[in-house]
Amino acid sequence: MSEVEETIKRIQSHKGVLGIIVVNSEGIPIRTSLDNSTTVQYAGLIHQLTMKARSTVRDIDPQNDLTFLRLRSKKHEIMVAPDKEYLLIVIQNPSE
Amino acid sequence: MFHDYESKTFEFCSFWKTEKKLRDCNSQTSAILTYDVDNQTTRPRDAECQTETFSQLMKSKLAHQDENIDQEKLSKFLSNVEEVVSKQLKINISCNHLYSWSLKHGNVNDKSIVCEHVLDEDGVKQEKNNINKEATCISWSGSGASIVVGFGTNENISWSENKSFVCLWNLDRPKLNPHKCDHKLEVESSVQAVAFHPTLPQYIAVGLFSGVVLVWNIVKDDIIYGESPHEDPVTSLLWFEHQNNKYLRLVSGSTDGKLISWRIRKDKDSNLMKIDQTKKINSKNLPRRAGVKGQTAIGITCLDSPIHDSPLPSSGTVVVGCENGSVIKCSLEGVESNPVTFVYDNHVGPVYSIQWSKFHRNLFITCAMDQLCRIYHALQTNPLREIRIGGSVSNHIYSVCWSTTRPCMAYVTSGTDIEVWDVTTPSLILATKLGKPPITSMRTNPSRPSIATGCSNGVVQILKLGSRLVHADDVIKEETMALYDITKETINE
Repeated sequence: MSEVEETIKRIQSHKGVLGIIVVNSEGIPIRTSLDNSTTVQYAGLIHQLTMKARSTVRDIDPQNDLTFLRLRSKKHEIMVAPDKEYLLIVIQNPSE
Repeated sequence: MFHDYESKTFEFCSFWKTEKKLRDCNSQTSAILTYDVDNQTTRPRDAECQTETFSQLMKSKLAHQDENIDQEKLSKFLSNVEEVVSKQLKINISCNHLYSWSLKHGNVNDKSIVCEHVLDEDGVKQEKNNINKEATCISWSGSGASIVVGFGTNENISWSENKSFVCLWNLDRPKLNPHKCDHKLEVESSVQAVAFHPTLPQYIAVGLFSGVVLVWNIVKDDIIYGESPHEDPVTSLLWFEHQNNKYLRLVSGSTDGKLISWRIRKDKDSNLMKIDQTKKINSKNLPRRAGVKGQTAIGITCLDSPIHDSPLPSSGTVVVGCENGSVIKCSLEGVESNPVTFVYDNHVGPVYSIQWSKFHRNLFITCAMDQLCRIYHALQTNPLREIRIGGSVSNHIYSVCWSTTRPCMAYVTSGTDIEVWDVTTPSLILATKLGKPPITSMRTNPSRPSIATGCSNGVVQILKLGSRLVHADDVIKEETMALYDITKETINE
């Protein structure tokens, strides 16, 4: 339990990180550093996007798989690290 | 004698008729099989049930966080992923350039005009006895990275044969030397007009006080002269698109009233630029309301043509500002020597600058010696808007330019100031003083947020425009609509 918390804290301590969410395979957030409504919104939307991205990669080459997904916007960057069972979402504002 | 006789009847057995013999007989079929089966149909029944919305489900799950989680798997996943993510986070912090847009434009309300470079060519300054020291004309290259400045003088009274220069600076060079230009061309007379070709930056057209039109090819360092010069100083040059890709087309306007269309063959080396066509504006072709009597030629002081799809104007329509204040729409097509198609209301005094709007195909702005800037609709004689420039009467307004990004904004030079106007109301947004010598020419950079101004002491200033003056994404729709609304006034009037 503490190991999980420690890892999350370490990731969050990087410069510019606005929030971090861990989502399970059903799209339900397990751990989060943001408020509930934002978390729920991010988790649902990013989960769908990651599924779509993963299926795109696999459709093009079935032996390939998605390893990392980055979404850069004007205000910040959303990084998604997918896994078989979980999904890690990190939101960073690099210009801070 | 006769009496009845009855004979006996005879009987005999038939030979063939026999008695039928009958016998009873029984037969039996197999039993007929029958089955009994029961059948039942389903009867539907309505029932209601209720699920939670996804967000509620998630929220409830969040509340019971620790129930269904395999902690080991989770920590394993996190430790795997942490490395990758941390690396990316660190990279993002270190390379800021992707986000530098937001850093630069962080101050969205920046309305300043800041001087970035001051270009002052020593070679020109140090020429002895040279009166041709004013920066009379400027042109930006199509990419916005280079600027060419023509030196001369606006105070010419009589015919002059003093040599003069055309200087080229590339502003993207890291070692930009503001005192020494990158390329210099010496010409025999004061330069009155320069024009960079918008798509082929090796061609620079130069118009001189002596009426000569020449094209400087900076790649070959070669000059192509026009076959025969204008009779009077060349005041304006404009590159056009030629239908044939092998040729370049240039149009020059001069105070002798002529609009000459030149063609240059691109590949072959040629020393002479051929004339395609000459048109002359004569006062007899203007209506009486233009206020010109007699049969003189009307000198042209500036010209512009609308740009539609290509980066070069391709239609033969040209709108011309004249020495006497007339604003005339001309057509370069056709064979007759009179190009005049439509005459707008006059200014009082020479029209110094004219420019077609990029955002509306029928609007153009003019400025003249009467301190007025006017916005005309191409189909209507009287102007839609008049902007009176403040300041003393001695402030010459030598140029006006539309903003390249915001539809309703125009820059006007007035003496030593640059004024930024919103033409819809019209209202002054900003006025910036630039220093002592009066500005003789100004041009906006076609692809970057900057303006170049040339002054009468030969100094050229490159000014950077603040993001509020440039950044148009949020206002472009409203401003384009506002421009259209101005033009609707023509229908209502």
